[in-house]
Amino acid sequence: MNVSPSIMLAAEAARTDWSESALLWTVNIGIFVIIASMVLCLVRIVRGPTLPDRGIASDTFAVQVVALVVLLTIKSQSLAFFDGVLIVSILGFVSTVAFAQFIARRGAVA
Amino acid sequence: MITVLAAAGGTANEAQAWGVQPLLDIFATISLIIGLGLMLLGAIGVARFPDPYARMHAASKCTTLGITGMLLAACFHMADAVVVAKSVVTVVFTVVATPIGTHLLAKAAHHAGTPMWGDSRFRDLEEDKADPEKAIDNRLGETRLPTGDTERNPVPFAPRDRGAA
Repeated sequence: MNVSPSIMLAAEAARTDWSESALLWTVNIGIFVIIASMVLCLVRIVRGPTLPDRGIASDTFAVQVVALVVLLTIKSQSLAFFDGVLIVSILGFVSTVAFAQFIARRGAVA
Repeated sequence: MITVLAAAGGTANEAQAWGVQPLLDIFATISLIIGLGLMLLGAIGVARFPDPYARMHAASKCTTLGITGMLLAACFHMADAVVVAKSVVTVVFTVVATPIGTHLLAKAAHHAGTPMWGDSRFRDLEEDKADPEKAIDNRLGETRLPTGDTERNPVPFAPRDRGAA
């Protein structure tokens, strides 16, 4: 296929378009949003009056770790972290089930 | 075509060479904003709602949809088969596993006697535990069909006796 260099330059310029910079700005803001969400969940883990409060807050915390890994993958343009998404979500589910069994045996007293 | 792809950038996929990447990035930005907003709303609900059941209500739904939106953003940005496959697996696992985990936590908390919020109306478990005979009668009254004599005129859709089978 015969392609003139101007099309190649246009394709090169399209990589640093305003849309990609908007996405990267959103990712940079989103890291702080997720960190704020993690702080809120940590507040609930510390303050939670009963044990199910801490369980549900730690479950939400695991999902936010997954979200942070996704943001890091988009930001760093590499697939090295993307395997951690599924692994962290599986760990969060297993820890939630273990927490539920613990509550069912021990009672919900803090 | 290969030389064009190689010239357009080292890690370029086909979408960049065809010029679709700005549109994909716009879609990625929109879904990322939706996902981030849902995650933040879920965390605010976990921190602010009055009792554990309302917190589970906020946490499970908002985190499921939030992580779906963020993985959709990753799929749009890196239009790659590996990313799409792993994202689909993760979304399916999250959609299946989050309600199960939340249901287990809610069941354990409810049977362990975690107090509800003061304005909660329906307290069926307390009523059933206070009067077990009435609870059993209520359950049978829902499943049994309202016909008269069950020996001469058996109910066609009666609940089957598990011991006799």
